[in-house]
Amino acid sequence: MRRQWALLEHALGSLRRRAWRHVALAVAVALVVGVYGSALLLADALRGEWRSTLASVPDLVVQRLEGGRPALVEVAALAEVVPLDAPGVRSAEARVWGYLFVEALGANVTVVGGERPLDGALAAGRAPRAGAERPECVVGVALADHFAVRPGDRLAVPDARGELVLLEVVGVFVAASALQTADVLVTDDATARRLLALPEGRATDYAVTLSRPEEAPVIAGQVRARMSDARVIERDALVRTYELTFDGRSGLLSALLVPCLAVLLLLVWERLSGLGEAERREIGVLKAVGWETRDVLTARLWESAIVAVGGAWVGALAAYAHVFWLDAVGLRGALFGWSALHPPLELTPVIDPTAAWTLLGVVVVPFVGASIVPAWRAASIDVDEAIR
Amino acid sequence: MTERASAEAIGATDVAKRYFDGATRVHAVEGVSLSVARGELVVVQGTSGSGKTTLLGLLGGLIAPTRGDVRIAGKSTVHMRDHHRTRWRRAHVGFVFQELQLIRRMSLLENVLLPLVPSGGARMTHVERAERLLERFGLAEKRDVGVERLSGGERQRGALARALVLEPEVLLLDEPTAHVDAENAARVVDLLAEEKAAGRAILATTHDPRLADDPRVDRAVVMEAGQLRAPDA
Amino acid sequence: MPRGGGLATAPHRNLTKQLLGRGLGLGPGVAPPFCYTREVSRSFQPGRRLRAFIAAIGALALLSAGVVADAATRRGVAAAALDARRAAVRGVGLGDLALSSSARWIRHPTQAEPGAPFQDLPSTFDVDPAGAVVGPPAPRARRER
Repeated sequence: MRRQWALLEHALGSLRRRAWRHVALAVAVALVVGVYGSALLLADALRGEWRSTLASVPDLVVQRLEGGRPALVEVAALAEVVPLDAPGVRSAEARVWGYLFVEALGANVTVVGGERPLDGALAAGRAPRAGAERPECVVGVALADHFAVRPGDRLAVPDARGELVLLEVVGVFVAASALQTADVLVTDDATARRLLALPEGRATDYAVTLSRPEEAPVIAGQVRARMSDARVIERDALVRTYELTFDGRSGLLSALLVPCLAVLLLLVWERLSGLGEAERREIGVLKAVGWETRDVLTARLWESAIVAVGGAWVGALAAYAHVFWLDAVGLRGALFGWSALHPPLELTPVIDPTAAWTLLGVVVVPFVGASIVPAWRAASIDVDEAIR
Repeated sequence: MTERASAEAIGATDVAKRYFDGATRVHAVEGVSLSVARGELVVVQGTSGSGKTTLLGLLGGLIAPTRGDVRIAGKSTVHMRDHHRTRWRRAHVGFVFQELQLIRRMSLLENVLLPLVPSGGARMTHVERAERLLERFGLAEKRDVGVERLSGGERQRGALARALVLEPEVLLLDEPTAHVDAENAARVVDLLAEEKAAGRAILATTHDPRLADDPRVDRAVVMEAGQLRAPDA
Repeated sequence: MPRGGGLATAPHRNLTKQLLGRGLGLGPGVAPPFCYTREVSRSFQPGRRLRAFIAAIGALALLSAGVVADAATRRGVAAAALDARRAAVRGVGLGDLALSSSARWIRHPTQAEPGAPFQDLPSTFDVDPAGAVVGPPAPRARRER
């Protein structure tokens, strides 16, 4: 124990004698860990965000395919397509929703129509009512912020044919749901149809909620049997798609970091081994004054472990600060794609221990290895040779 | 006490070291026998390339001999395992290299305490002993100065202090007066004489008459082409 | 002069010695790994680097504790808002995150057609990396104006 403290002390002195080199190495480690860690933290937090609301998503979505693309479905055919009386089915509806490009916003708004159960989801106001004298709507936070509207204000939105529709804002979604609802505009069925240019009697898709989600494959089979051109998306498929989206993107980012890591290790090898002369001499001196090879190596292990672990630690903290305090500046673009409507990133940290250990293993272990091997080689030659 | 003082502290019997320099075989040391007793100051003279430094390395356990036996403090070190030999050497031999081998950008005191690190660092007694040594060597003021800012004589004495910090029975020195002026050389010789009086066995290589011809030197041998012979006249 | 200075600060040294000894978890009477003599000067204290090191680790640990506390707070806030979020998703019926405001495939990837032979966008693969940097083309209406 005493010996370890003494060797640690010596290692610290050695670090200080070559402070700039080691600071540079630690910064490089911190950068790699920081960028990689940011990507992991962000992807994990988003995944966690989506998983937490997974249960509220419909169990089955039925689309109709036409030429391989989703086409509108008949509202009246709902009862024919979905076995409403089957024991597992709780409810089914034909949904009216779609995208509306709003030029003033430079972005798409997700328009959702119909009587929606919005209890508990609104920060202010109430759900829109059909048949009001002026069409009513509920908007997400990003929309409300962008147009600076509150319940009671009016909002002019161009419909799909370019004519302005004057909507009365009657509610705003809670800020906590911004990640899901930032660009959502909920209005009554007729107004939604007008905005989206959706003909009467048609809908975007059918959504089915089951009382026992594990029966989804059975019900999906029945739907397929009843409607030949149906494509049924089970919740499992939604999960898969979603996880893949962010796995794919964060994986892409991580792949870009592999060369960075390689460069770092190369740098370590180069700086710690190639440097040679002065350091070899120092190792020779230590051996000459009676250090054993393992003493030299232990001191060296301390040295590089301090640099690597310290750098990785700082990098991990920086990654957290970057993602959760600085809203992942720079990274969100790469991970999300283009967006004009930024929801505030109020993320919940989720830390995947496997990923954390992998990251440490990928950075710290090779780093320490790359600095130990040359020291071991220098320490195992004859003292005589080392100091000549 | 007198009996112990006359006992052998370090010795070699028919020791040889050969190595290959490219394709040519070099007999650096060839069949040397030598013994130094406690309280004895022995000088090895010889031209450069005569094998003096190699002999010193063999005796100090830094170089493994091709043939022969080396004894340090009554134990043969030739067949010891590496780390045993290192420990034995650390405990019993102080070594001052020709190039001194102090670590730059490290303070003098730290350099002196360097041999203590593997055994757990400097304890209070060690630090006190190191400070006494430095004081005796006239280096008390330079204790915290980086060694690269010391003069040649100060470095020489610093290296000597490091060799003595573990109070070894044997002190081996390679050209201890080679790089210093007359005043410093005399000082080093005085210090060696003091250490000799304290009962240490001292073996120094030199071709410097300031050391070799000092009356306090007990014995001088001459090395020539890897072999020892008695000095002329 | 350095001697005298060392003597004058002796109590301080003893204190640091005690602190270090305690900091390393050694009981009374057990020597800390590095001992100080009153002569040990300001510029060379064997324990100073160790103390700086331990202080650095302490600072990092403190920051980490801050991060853990922040994470816990965020989890708490998120848990409190979870019901509202679930209600919002149930109400809207679409669970995807509104991270991107570009076309259908990006905004609601789960509602698109993961298995379809033709995706609804001409260059599905392109939208990922390039969309982050380039952005969508200006609307035709704007250009014509």
